[in-house]
Amino acid sequence: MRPSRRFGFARKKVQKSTSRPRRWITRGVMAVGLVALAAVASACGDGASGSSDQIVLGISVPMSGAVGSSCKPMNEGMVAWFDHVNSSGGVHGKKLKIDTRDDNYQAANSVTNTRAFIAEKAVAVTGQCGSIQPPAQMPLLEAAKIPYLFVFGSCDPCNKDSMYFNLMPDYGVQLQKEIPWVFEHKGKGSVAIMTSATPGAAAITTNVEDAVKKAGGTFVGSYSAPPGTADMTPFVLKMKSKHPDYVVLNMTPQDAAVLTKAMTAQNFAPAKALVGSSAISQASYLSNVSPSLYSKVIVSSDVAAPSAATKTDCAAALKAAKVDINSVTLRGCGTAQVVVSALKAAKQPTSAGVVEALESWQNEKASEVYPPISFTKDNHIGVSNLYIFGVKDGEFNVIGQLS
Amino acid sequence: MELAISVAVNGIAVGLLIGLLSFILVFLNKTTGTANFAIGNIGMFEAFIVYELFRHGMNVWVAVVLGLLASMVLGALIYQVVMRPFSKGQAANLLVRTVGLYLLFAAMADVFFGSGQPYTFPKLLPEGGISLGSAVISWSSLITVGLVLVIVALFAAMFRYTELGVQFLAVAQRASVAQLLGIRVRRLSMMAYIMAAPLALLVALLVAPSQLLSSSMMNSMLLYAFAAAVVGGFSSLGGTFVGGIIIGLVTDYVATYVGGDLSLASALVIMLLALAVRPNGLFGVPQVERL
Repeated sequence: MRPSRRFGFARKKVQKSTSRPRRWITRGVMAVGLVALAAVASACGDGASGSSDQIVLGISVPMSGAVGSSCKPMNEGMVAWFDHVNSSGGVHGKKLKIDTRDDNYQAANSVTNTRAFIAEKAVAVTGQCGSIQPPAQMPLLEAAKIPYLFVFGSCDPCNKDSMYFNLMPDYGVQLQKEIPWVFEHKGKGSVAIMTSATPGAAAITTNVEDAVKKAGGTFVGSYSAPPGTADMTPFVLKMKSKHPDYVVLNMTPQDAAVLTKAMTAQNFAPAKALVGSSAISQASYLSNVSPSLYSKVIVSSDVAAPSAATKTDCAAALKAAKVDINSVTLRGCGTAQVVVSALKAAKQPTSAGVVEALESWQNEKASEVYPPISFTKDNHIGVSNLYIFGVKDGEFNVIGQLS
Repeated sequence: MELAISVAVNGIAVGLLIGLLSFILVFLNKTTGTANFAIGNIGMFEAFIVYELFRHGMNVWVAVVLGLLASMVLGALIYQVVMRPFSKGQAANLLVRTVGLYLLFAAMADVFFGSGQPYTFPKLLPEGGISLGSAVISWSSLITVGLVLVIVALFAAMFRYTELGVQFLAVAQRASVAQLLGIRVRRLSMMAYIMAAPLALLVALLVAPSQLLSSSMMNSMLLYAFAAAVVGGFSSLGGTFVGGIIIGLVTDYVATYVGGDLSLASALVIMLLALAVRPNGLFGVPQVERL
């Protein structure tokens, strides 16, 4: 039995195998050469912030996916203001280069995008929208010492990171502050909470329960649904059976909209109010709320209501960019104003310069639509005076302010 | 007790919708030999087309009718272009094609309509409903039940009284023998897709107004539908609705009494249990092969 003859190609294989090492060496040299060429080419390109005439800002944001309808307009608002700044000469004589990448509300995509921003040597990463992605992005940015500026979302574990800055307090903190306010203005009562199952949601539920008890109310139950749950009716029926005076929503605007639709279908409304954070203080939520519930909606917001911002530069920039003026686009524009203010305040438009500048702010009026902003080395949450919105004529309007 | 009854009512309404999607899966499986994994996303994509027509100023009902017609054409195209070529004796290959279609439609929806989703879909059915104790049976749920019953009756009549229906049954029983008897199996398969695609759109149109329109809106529904098909029996058209109701009830009760996070898991557990204990489902018949 001679297998080599039988299969025909064995002899040829043996002969060739003597030249294999040389072939691998040649291929290895070629590969190294290609990598070196690519490295030289990329160093010569103008994509990095290292180039003298650009400041690179990375934005990973859900332009599609479960929260795309809320987050895309916010991005449009930001880009409108950055374009306005560029058309006025930029910052420190440099143009802003905005690299916006869709992460589809997926943590894995946001990590891929963040790696790209780090490779680009972005000065800062900003414009995120959602609470699922920040915990995944933050370790990369912390290691790269790139500041992560002002996510429209909650990231409780990020608060300990030196590169994490946010304008609004976490949703849990907002709701905790809101509970005493609504009890004071609408009367004490029983409270149920409905949450989207996002990172940190369980801790927020516990904090809200504590706040309710501390303010003299009773806590009747908590319910949690994964983001994107199709049928919210079981949760509505269960809440309905408890007859709560207040229902607190700690949800994405889309989940809150689906839940509110199910509440309307089941003829259920809390006796006193439907309470939410800035996560739902936006038109994409309100457009799905039945007018019969308008009088019960109370939400907190860190940005001014659109009706109070009609004569701002932001409104003009949005109008020029043909972007609708609403609470989300204003938030985007206002956030971009704060980013630009930080870049201007920095001695050098570098990551370290931005961090240093932000940590020196005390009651800084960095944007037309945000209240004065303060940061310290130990406190990276900039806004403490939240607005309270109710609904009038189908739009959010200010009915109070938290200190 | 009142809560339990309310949950049961909702579970049955949702279950019938799951059953309808499951029915389409089993119908395609029986008539073409392949359960199409993409059917949920096909419906989703068609619903986006209806929404786009509406968004550009068309009356919503005209958009729905045009969408139904377009979906028939889409169904025929899917069969002719994707499923038919080199299809003989390629069960695994065909199944993979349906997975590819599933991903393709999700990707196309993201590319063409994804920016800014999810969207609020216009109301097609009246609001309000009938109170039953503390629960409300919405008009949309009642109309959904009515629509499902009409569709079942139409299909039953087709199978019983029309030549096309009898040919479908013959192919479903034994395609090779049906072909020997002169039935044009491929033409029938194309007919099955022409009928299935508008049904998928119908399911999506019933789901979209109460949720929001997005490229992922049918994902959990498809999983529930597969579970329903397995529970009812993958060879039983009627069993799909029983399976759907079981899945609808169990997932709603789990969401209410155990926790929303376990709702999907409960459907999958039921599916696995059914496969382990009763592999042919409640109404399926064992496949007997002559050696």
